[in-house]
Amino acid sequence: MKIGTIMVRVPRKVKQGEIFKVLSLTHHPMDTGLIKNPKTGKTIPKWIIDKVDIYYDKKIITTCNYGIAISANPFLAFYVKAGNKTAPLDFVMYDTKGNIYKRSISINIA
Amino acid sequence: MSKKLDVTRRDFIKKAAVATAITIGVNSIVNIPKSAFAKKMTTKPKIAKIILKDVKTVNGKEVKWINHPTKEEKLFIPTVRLPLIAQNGAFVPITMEVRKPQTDKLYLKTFYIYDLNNPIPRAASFNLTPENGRAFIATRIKLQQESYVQVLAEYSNGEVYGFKKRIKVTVGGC
Repeated sequence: MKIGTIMVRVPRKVKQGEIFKVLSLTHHPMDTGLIKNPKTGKTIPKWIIDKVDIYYDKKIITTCNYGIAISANPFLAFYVKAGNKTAPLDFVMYDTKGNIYKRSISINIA
Repeated sequence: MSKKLDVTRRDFIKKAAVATAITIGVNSIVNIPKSAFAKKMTTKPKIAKIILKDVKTVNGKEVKWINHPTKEEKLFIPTVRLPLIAQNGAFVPITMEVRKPQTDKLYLKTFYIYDLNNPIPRAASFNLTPENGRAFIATRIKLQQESYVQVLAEYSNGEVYGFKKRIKVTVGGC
């Protein structure tokens, strides 16, 4: 799997005003910069996702600031309150090498 | 000759046997090889002491640590789910929740996760808004050793409540 792919699980259809759960998993090594490579003896440089923004209906609802103590392949679960029309849920992640990872999913209102 | 010394043959053998027994016994006690005893612990294991301090201020605001909360205060203090023993410190699941619903007037603004035994104490912070509906976050964190994990909940009116939980870690991860 490519580094930076974001897997998201949401319910297929939600009612108006319902509070639903969102699960997400990102593929990323999250190297702390403290661990040595046992074969070469050199420290693996720091490379982590340090900021995550989550937008619903183009409005920011959650931001996460990560340190080095978040485990590899970071998992994140939270709740969102559904609006009255179909709208996208966007994930934007920034890491310390300057990469930006994005994923967008539409929430369907039944 | 035998009369002068007054030693019979039987006597001589008896005494000689006793003398040799004593010398052998003393020698064996004095010169016990060192490997017979277990080695005395000279170096302590590497695990540092658990830090019992609480985080006192966050963003210039005082943190409330309440030992015996009332019913109203229980709504504000975060409930944290952690395993008692983590077999691998690299993946420790943690969930934190506040029972109070998110309203526009008063809502949970930020969750903080602290572990003072880690090389960098603040693990993460999560900013929430009323659009979340429910103040709930689940992630996985890394832990270095047995310690207290502290979760702080900051509200929109500026109050900060804290909760901590002890966890054992068999293999460190941070």
